[in-house]
Amino acid sequence: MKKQLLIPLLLLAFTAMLWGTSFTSKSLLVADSYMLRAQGCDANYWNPALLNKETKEIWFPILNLGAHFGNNSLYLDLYNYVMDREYLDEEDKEYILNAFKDNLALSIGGQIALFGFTTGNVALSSSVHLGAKASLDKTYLKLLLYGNGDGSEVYTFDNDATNLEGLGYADITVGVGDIRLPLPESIPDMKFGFSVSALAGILNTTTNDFEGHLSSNLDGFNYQQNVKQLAGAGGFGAKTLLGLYSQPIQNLTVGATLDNLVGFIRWGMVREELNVNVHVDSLYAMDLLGDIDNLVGFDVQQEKTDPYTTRLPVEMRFAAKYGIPQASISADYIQGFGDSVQTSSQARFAIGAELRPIPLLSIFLGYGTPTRNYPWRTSLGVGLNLGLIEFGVGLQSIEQFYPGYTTKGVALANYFNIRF
Amino acid sequence: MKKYLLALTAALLLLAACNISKPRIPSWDVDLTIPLLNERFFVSDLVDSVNIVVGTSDVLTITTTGEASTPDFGKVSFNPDLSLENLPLISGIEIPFSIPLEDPNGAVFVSYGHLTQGGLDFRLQLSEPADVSISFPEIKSATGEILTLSPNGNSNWIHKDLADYSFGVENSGEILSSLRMLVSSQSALPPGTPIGKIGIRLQNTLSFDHLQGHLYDFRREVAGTYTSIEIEYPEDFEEAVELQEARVFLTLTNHIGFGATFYGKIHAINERTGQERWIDVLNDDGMHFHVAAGTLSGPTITELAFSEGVSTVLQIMPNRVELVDGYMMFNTDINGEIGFVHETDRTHCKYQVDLPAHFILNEHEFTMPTPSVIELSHDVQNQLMNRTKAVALTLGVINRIPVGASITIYFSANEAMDPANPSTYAYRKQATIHSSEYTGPDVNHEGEQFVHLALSESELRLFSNPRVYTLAAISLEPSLGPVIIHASPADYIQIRGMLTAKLLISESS
Repeated sequence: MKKQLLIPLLLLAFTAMLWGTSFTSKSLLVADSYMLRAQGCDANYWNPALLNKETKEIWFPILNLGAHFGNNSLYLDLYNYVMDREYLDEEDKEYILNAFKDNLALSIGGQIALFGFTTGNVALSSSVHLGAKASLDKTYLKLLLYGNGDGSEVYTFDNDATNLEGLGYADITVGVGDIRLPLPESIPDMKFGFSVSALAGILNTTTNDFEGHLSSNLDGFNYQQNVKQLAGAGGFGAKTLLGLYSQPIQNLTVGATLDNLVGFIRWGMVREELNVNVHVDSLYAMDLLGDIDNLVGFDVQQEKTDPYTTRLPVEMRFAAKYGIPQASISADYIQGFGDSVQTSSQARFAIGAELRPIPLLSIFLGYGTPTRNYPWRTSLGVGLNLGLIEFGVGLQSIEQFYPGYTTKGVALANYFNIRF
Repeated sequence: MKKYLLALTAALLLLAACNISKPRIPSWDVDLTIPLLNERFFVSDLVDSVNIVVGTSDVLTITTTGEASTPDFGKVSFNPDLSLENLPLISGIEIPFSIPLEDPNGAVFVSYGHLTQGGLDFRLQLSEPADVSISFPEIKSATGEILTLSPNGNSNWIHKDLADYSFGVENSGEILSSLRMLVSSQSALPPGTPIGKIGIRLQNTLSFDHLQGHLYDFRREVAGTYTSIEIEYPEDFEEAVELQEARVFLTLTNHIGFGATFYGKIHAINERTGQERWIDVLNDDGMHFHVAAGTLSGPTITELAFSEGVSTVLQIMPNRVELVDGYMMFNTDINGEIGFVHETDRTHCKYQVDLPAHFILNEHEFTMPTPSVIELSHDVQNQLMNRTKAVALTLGVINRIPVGASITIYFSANEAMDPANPSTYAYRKQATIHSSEYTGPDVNHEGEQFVHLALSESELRLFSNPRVYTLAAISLEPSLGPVIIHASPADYIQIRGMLTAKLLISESS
């Protein structure tokens, strides 16, 4: 019985924690256009080439936090639209259904820094990354609103539209930067850096198979659903991040990173596969008066699997930043080479800006372009720079410029660094 | 941490500035299609092995059976009505006399017979004292002793009871046309001297409980029982169906050692309409059937069948078919072979009337005699009224039977419905199922035809009444010619059905 409960508990744990990955707290303030803005311990995760002996920084536990939750379809205005109606007519249903894309994609995640410090051009840091994303086929909503109609349609469900994935791990990362590449004089200086992370896998789940179909007509009620959900806890792994940056002209820096090189987590302590198979074959209402054992089947099996490996897909970034003492603007191009909780194979851009009307105050702005499962977003943040200490807060709004009726999610972050 | 909470609070404040509606579930309509049934209704399922059976070549056949029997054959009797007198009596000489044994009516000829009743009378008139002995070699006692009379000097008629005596020799194969009577006397007078006269009479009825011989035109009644046909035909069904074929089978088990001619009628009665029809039991040449004689080794079974005119009799769709006015006329066969009969012998008759499902269908609508009632509880009424906006029943029918029909169902809140008067019912729905003979656009290449019955929201309001009455009227699809309904595994109606309903989903549901 204990065994049967393991996977559901793991899944519940993901849902409850509301954490995510692929960001650090301060990066949320500029919609992740942060590759050339990261300094100190942040650079360990964004571009180690920026580590240098001029920027010394300490992270204290818990004081750098970020969390986000969002989706690609639901927003407050839609909620109010539905709740304000006594009766949903065909126009209302169409309105609701049009709000949804091919699927309802949910994403939740967070990052918490445990500790970090830099010395010279070396940084040592540790943080916890937790994230989950889920996707639900739009067909379910269509069935809920319209029913199965005249029965002529056969509904199919697959892994692309419905899935659940979660990943949580802690890292200890060592980075070295500010390594000048030996290039000809005619080429501007280019700095190189790298970081290596030892990863401790906390939790993982992934939908290996989700395949089914449903029909209800003269051929009877036919339903088949196969689900294979893999879950693991307790693992180890590693990843590396390579970074370059250069300042070809005054005030302009450019950079490139390659993250998750040889990135993996091997799950070995707990590894279970949940197999759910439901099938209903040509069931008619009259059959319910008799024995239907041969028509209906429900089978749940949970079995220990061999140790398995979660690959962290490689992600490539190119960025450019133009800055003057009062302001800076940056643009990042992000391209993953695989889909995961952290990465997307669909390319996107992130644009960020920092305004410093007075040296003490920083105002952060950001915009991230959308992909199929990654809605566009804006960010706004404010920070204080008190010399030794800098801190700030910020938030992101998904698919609206500021949190409001059409926001499809928010992200919150704060940072607190000691620089010396 | 405090700052994080501060930021979180700020974000929540921004969101709090928005108007968030109170959560509740609105109502909406969904169209649901639910498969109802997928059944094959085989013709063979109609077979009850009593009135509905699978006949020759797997033809569905309505049948009824009955039994009839002659009573016990009883004693064979006749009175020879013979009187011989003044036969000479000669001293010292045995004189043989021949006494005719004949039925004056010519109906009975004895080869061997065991008497249960009857006797003979004799008288002796002597002129001189003498010892006289009279013997009958063909008449024997139960112990096999020849009947011998030793009259005394009494000159009156003396009666000799012959009960338990037998005439003739069993299984001799010869007709005993006369009895020998041997008379011998001894007196004091020289041999050859007449000493008196003798007389003999056979004027009592001789009754034999076992007879071997010839019988002519011996009639025995046949009476019996019948079984009712427990089939409820729709009213006027006889108008819609023209029977093409019917047969009567007779199985006669004859224990009597004489052949017979069978006489009788098949009587059909439709007790609902009061119609009656008869037909004589005759072979297809119009002649009466002959029943073979039993043999000494056991009874003989004679199987007879006829069909001529039977379908006309059964066209009234009887619920009772019986054999009436039956009798058998026993006769020695034309070869003159010796027959036999015991007192308790009888002839048993089993009859079966078969009505194969072979008919022509005419266009004729028959309406059910009474409407059916649908009782609706208050809850069901509410569910139908408040949640159901439309209902449609779709049937996919594969009809492998050469019978098609249209059915019209009349709906009303009142029991009194007249299909001819639209004001007496709320609405009607019609569906047609074509026969297997049909070829047309209503049947797809897989032989499936579809029936669609829909009730709109306004029509569903009828079900707000506690009782809804339905009356069905069925009209058979006219056949192009005679059709035969078989009951093999390939003869069935397959019905797949699904219900499509527009339902209101609301919080309370």
